[in-house]
Amino acid sequence: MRILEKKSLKIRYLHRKAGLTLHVLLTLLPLAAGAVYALLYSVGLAGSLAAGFTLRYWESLVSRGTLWQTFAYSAYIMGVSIVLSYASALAMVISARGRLMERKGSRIFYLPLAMPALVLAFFAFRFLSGGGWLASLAFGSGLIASPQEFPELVNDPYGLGIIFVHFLLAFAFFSIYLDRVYANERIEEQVQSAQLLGAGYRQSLRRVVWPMILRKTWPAISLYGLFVFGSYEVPLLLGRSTPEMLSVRIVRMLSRFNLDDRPEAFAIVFAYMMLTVLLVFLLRKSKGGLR
Amino acid sequence: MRKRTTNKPAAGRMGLAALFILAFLSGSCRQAGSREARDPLQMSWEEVLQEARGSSVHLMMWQGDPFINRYMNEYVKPKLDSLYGIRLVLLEGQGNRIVSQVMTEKEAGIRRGGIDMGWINGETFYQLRQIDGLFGPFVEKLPNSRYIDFDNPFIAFDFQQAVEGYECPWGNVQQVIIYDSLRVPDPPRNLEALAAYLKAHPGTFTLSNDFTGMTLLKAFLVELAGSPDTFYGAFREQTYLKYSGMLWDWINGHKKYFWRRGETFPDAVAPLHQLFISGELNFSMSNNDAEVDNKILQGLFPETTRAYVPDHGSIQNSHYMGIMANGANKAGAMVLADFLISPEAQWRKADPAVWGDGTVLATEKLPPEWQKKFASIPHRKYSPGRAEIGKKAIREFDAEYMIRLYEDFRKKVIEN
Repeated sequence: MRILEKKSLKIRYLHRKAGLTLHVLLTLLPLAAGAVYALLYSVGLAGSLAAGFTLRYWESLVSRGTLWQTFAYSAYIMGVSIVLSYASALAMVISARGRLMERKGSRIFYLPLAMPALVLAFFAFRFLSGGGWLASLAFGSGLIASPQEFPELVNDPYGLGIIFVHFLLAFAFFSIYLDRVYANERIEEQVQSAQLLGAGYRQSLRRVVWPMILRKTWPAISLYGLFVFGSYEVPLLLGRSTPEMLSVRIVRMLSRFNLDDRPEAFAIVFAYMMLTVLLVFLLRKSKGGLR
Repeated sequence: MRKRTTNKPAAGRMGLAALFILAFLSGSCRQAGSREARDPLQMSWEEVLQEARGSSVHLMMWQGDPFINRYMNEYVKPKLDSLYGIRLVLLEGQGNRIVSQVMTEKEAGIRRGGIDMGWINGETFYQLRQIDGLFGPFVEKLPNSRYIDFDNPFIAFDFQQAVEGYECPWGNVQQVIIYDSLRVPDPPRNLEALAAYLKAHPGTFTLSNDFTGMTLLKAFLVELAGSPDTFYGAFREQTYLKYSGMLWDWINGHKKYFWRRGETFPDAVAPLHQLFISGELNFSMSNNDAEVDNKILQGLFPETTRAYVPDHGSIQNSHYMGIMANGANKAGAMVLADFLISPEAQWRKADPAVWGDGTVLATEKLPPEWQKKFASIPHRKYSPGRAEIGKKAIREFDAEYMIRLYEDFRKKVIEN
């Protein structure tokens, strides 16, 4: 019996090690290699046109304010999209008391998630642009006399179109996810217990629901935030020439006519990777973070 | 509690395993890369044909136009297969994608790359030459190259850089400005008239922040300088600074009347067309002078759409086929290039109902029956005639002008 147990433990140990090795080989190693390559490229030590160690690409990037503008703009889009979608989804899940997905027609929440982001972005463009369906409706009803009079909802200074599409995607995701967390964590029962002990409705929301849900969903919020931070197709179609979101800027610099711009693009790639690693590290350190 | 030190041998084994796999993979890559094909430049044409038979050619090209796609898929592909036994594989991608892939392969030491041939123009040619990414000189080796009009400077030079057999001319086009004659009965023909139009109709004009938009800016530079001769020859810093300064002043002085007050610009011609079709813009533009016929036949533009070249002229340039230095099937790519410049392929492509692309052949060098065929190509219905706009054709400037225009347009207009 003990021999069998030992054997089973050994097999489980080997499985775990094999999984870890595969993870290192297929995920971490290429990422680490990519980071090293990006760093070397950005300091003139890699690439076809490399001419020896230099910090001029980093200096040029840092001296131009547009890099910080790019990071700030990406953070702004991420923050607004996530806060709006998370808050709306949470409000809906709480009002449904964790039974949102049991309701009739709730499968519609899966629809935006099944669509590629580019398709939704194109839909938003056709819907919200000056020559789009909404503008045609406004024109038909005499509210505007020409497409130029329609308010700027895409390619606009505040990223409204980009936020709209990310809101659609994230709201659906958070609604499904929060509903599952609400049910699995038996939050409704906890609320009822708190109320039996004398807590008011608002107090139970503030002291029970919010801390429990936030602790459970914090990693998902952070990872989804990173996804929005690095999104490409949506800001490419609905954003404007400046400020740009991070991925749009990187791809533009990589594909520019001047090949000397490539090291600067790799410098941004490296900075972005380090930021992501830092965030994942902080998440692991935080309570209820990634495990 | 388990001691952490027990993991050390496991970590070591893991590292060894990783190194082994990496070494194996890199070894395999080198193995694959070491299968050197014979150099087709050292073969007779018959040997090139023999070498190419039964092979596949991977051509990377822009596939954003249904007419061009149909020409390639329904005409070139089957012809290449039936005549030479070559399978043509089309890969989606244009200039920057080609350069990026070739550069990455080169940096990774891959000697048999994924692209055999690419549809390129001046900027890509300049970049690929910078990184020694092109194979050649191969054009003289092609039997049909004897018909190419190399006396034409619009064909023999790409961005003022001699082609020197490193890319094969495929078509020739001139930039036009597109408008709807119903909405704009009298389009502006110079910068002064454009300024007046912008003030009267704010928000209805813009340019794309891409190759086409920068090409329009070159034509604006010519008007500001008074003559294209100012920009011919090698790049001159003083010339550029003088006239580009005037250009940025003009644009910044009027950009409040541009679409979205000149705070943003469409990043390609496709969204520009989209804005034109939806009525947000009264103008679009194209580097294909037959674009209006194509788009009307596709049902995208209204039949009242027309195109013109302003008084100061517009850039005429050629587009080419380049064979990649690390392409795996250079012989097959050469056969494809030769077929694409054959009288039949060029004649078919020049028909506005097929594509409407200008030929790169000197038709007077062709056999009489082909001369007749070229003379009887149906005329364009909505686009301006090639001979008419050709009188106002401007040659491409040195590539450095384009680099600087891209950079300064961003710094001095977009981010200003």
